[in-house]
Order: sequence, then C-alpha cells, then structure tokens
Amino acid sequence: MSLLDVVGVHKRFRSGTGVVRAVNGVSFAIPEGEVLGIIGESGSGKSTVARIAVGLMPPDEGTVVFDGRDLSTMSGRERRTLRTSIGIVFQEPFASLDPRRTALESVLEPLEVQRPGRAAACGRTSAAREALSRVGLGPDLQERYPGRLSGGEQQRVGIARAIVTRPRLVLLDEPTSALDRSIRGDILDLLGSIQREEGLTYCLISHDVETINHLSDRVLVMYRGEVVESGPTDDVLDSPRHPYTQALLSARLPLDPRAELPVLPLPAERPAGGSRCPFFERCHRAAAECTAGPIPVVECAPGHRVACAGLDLPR
Amino acid sequence: MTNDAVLSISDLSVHYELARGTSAEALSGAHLDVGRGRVHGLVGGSGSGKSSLIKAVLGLSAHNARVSGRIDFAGAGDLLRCSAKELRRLRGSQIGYIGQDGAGSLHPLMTVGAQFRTFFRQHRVPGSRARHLARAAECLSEVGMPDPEAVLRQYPFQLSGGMAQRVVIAIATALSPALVLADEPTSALDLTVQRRVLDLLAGLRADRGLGILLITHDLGVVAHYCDEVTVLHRGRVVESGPVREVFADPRDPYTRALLRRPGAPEPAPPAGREGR
Repeated sequence: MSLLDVVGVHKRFRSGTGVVRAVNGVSFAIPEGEVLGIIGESGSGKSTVARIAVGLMPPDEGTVVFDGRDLSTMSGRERRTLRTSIGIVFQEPFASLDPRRTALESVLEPLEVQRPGRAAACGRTSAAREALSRVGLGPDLQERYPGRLSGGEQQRVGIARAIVTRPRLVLLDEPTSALDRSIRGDILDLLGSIQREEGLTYCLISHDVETINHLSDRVLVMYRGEVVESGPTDDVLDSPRHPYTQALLSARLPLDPRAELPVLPLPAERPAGGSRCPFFERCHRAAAECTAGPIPVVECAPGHRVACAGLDLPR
Repeated sequence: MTNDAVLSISDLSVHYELARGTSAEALSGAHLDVGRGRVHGLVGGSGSGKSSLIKAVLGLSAHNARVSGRIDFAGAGDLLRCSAKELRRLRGSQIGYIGQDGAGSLHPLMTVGAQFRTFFRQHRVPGSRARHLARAAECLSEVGMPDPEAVLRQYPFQLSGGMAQRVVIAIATALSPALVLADEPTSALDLTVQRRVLDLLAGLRADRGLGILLITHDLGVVAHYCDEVTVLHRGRVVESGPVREVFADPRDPYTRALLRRPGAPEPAPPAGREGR
C-alpha cells in the first residue's frame, strides 16, 4: 500500500483576468520508502500539487489519502498529529526560519508541538541536537541565529527541523535552488543519505533535471497543471516519450563544454483550444489525433506512462 | 589594454563606506577583459562582488561606494574618469544592458513602440515617428520576433517572459553597442526558452562583433555560450581563463565545488596546491 495517495486532484485560482487551472486532474501514489520527483517549469502546478498533497491547501476536487486516512475528513487534533508525520523543507531557507530563534530553538519548535510538557524538555533538547548534528551542524553553530549562518547552513537547519519529529514523509520544495551553486551537491548528498538511512519517503519538487535525477526513484513530469509523463526516473530521463519531456531534456546544458548540444525541437505556435492536450499549442509533433477527443494515457514500458495522442506517429 | 578588447578592467576595487567611518570591501583588485566578438562569463554567488562590478562599469555605483582601478572601454578611455554626461551618452548607445527580468525592465504603461521612441529620442537618433517605428520593427525582427508591427503596439504585460526579454535585447542592441552587459538574462525564463535567448545573443555576437559580459550562476550556460570565464568569490577573482581550460582543470576549490556533480566524491586538490 502507498503511504500517500493523491487521486484526481483539481485546483483553480481566481486571477484578475479569469480562472487559472493550476492543477487539472493529477493522480499519483508514493509507496513508503520511495522518492517521487515532480519536475516542471514555473507555472506547471508542481508546487500547488505538493501543497495539496501534504495538507497545506485543500483541493477543489479529488482526495488525498495519507497512511490510509483521507485528509479532508480529519479532525483538528488528527491534523496536528499529521503535521508531525510530514516534514517540509522550503525553498528559501532564511525566509522559512524565525530570525529571532537560534538554530537549536528553531529545531526544538516542532518537538514542542509533538511532545509538549516540561517532563519531555530534556529529551527534546537531545533530539534536536542530534538532528542538527545529523545535518552537519556542530554545537557551536547550533546556538547561532539564522543571520549568522550561511545559506547552506540555514538550509541544513531547515532540514533538521523537517526531520526532527521523525516524520514518515518529507516534502522537499526546490530544496537547493536558492542556494549558492557550490553547495548544491553537498545538500543533495545529505538529503540522499538521510533518506537511505532513515528509510524516509520523499516528495521532491524541482525544475532541475540534475536534482531530480540524483534523488528520485520515480518522476512525474508536469505541464500546465497536468501530468504528461511519469515512470521510473531512468526510463523517463533516458527515453522520454512525451514531446514536452523531450523538449525539456534537450534544453539542458551539460557542464562539459565539449558535449554536443541536442538540436532543440522548434516549438509550434498554434491557437489555444482545439485539443485537450495542455502542450498542443507548442507541440512540434501535434497531429489530427490530438484534437479528436480525450488524450489517451499509454503505458509504453512497465510503469512508464505517457499522456499523448501522437505517440505512434512518425516524428 | 589589449588591442581587441572592448572592455578591460584592471585592479578594480569597490568599498562601501558605512556608518561611523567603517567600510566594507565588496570587490578587491579584479581583472577582466572582454574581447571584441567574445562572450565572457562572470560567475559568482551572492556577495561575490559581481553586482558591484557591473554597477562600476555602468557608472551607477551607489553614493557611498568608493571605486578605484581602471575600466577601459574601447574608444572612451577609462570609464571611471568619464563625466556623468559622457556616461549617460555611452549607456544605451555604446554599452547595452540586459537585466534578469525582461518585463520588469520595460515601462509597464508604455507600448513597446513608445519605449523604442523614447530610447531613440534620448540618444538623439534623427527621424520622424514613422521612421523610428520602422527602425524599431527592424530591430525586433533581427531578434527573431514574429510579427514585429503587432508587438510594437503591445504593452509589456501582454508579452510572455521570453518575448519581453527579446524586446529588451532588441533595445539594448538597437544602436549597435560595442559591449553588452547581460545580467542573468535567462534565469527568469523557462528552460525551454532559455536556450533560444542564449542562441540569439550568440548570433548577435557573431554577426556584429559584439563583446558580451554574461553574468550567470549557471555553469551549463558558461560551458556552451562563453569563450572565457571569470569566477568571483567573496570579492576576489579566484579563477579566470578560456572556458575549456577552466572546466577541464579547475584550480580553485570554489570553482571545483561549482563544477562538482552531486554524488561525485570531493575532487582531490591538484598537485602542488592546498585545498581550503
């Protein structure tokens, strides 16, 4: 059974000029101990899906089931318990920490919710110190305020705070994109080793193929609020089938200056509407099949699903 | 200054004077050359001093900044000794600037056509309204804009991020500058649009012999679009050279950390050097 089940979730936002369909019928499951990566560009709805999945935001339609319990029917008390079973690491480490609490105090905070009372104070402090050491922050750094920590150290505090309650699921929302490039690898390695050692389940949100590739077992590719392709990370990244995934991957710039860049497929410019495919307007492969009706989801390899009507068409 | 350099920065330092006689050093003894028809990548994290460097080149340093050294610009001599009036003339016409946020660098209440006209008038480009607009349309089609006449009538909010950035590039290169400062020109754009904008800049460089100083934190961009690279870290140039050489054999620990892939072991410091 999956630890997290997201079924047919929709979310719309009202904007000045109309309604934005941020998430449009997204379903996925994360089995315990697995890392699911959600990749997409800005506006793809990946962060909204993640927020719904961890109960930070209710969906307009659809259900989220965590550990066998439907989030929408939970009582307030159950929700508070849920908060300690789900850790969240945010994109902006400095903005997500209280500037007037030391690293240790910040990490203690979720424990005070989970295990309140004076009697547990001693245990809380040792648990918080242990979590901070686990993320590589020694005793001298534990007493510092966020303003006296580097960006990487701040994010380490954020990670300690997310794992200190021993959660079963951790949401990582762009955990390295606000950090200096030089420490990205260290933070990703740390997240990977914590996941393996604790047998944690991760939901990782990122726009960066490298990050997703490094940590995820499975990947979900989102475009304009819909999942266009999903499957085992190696399958999807090595042999992408959806035209959008192909465009996304061929736009990557490898670090090796001698590596030849793949030819970018030219994006089409079609008028909106006419197809239920979210990528129709820009797709370089669109054909008559795309406007014929619902877009079929094809399983092209075990667990590798693609939402595309033009899959078998010649390129 | 070498003969083919458009921009030659030598021993550039920037201090900021703070309260009670204290000061903070943002940039210390930086050297950097941008050749004609070359793209020079400038890499550095926050606090590396790259913003101080760009502002010094543009003559837009903060009031409390103390700038020393030389910034030689082709045909104009040392920019640090130019008058405010002279700098105003150079900016826009001889030195183009492309910022991170295309739509944000355009006036929100003016059509694209009106922005071009304001720009042309500012730089005393002769011609009637119709001549200016025709020239603007030419500039837009040179940056690959489909239907330039329609774009001239549009407001920035009607443009996508990639389109807005093309408009900014069209304005920045309209008067055939010798140098363009591109400050994270693609980091606000979607990945699939990024390469098109970079291809466009690379094309302009090749066609017009433009020198480009490309500020970026993306080493992939440097690897494929730059000829030379300078790495700034905490106000100092820690590494510089031709891209292929620096990427094949990075010497400084900070550069090596930038180039490290997650999962790969910490590379051993090259022989004869101590890791920090």
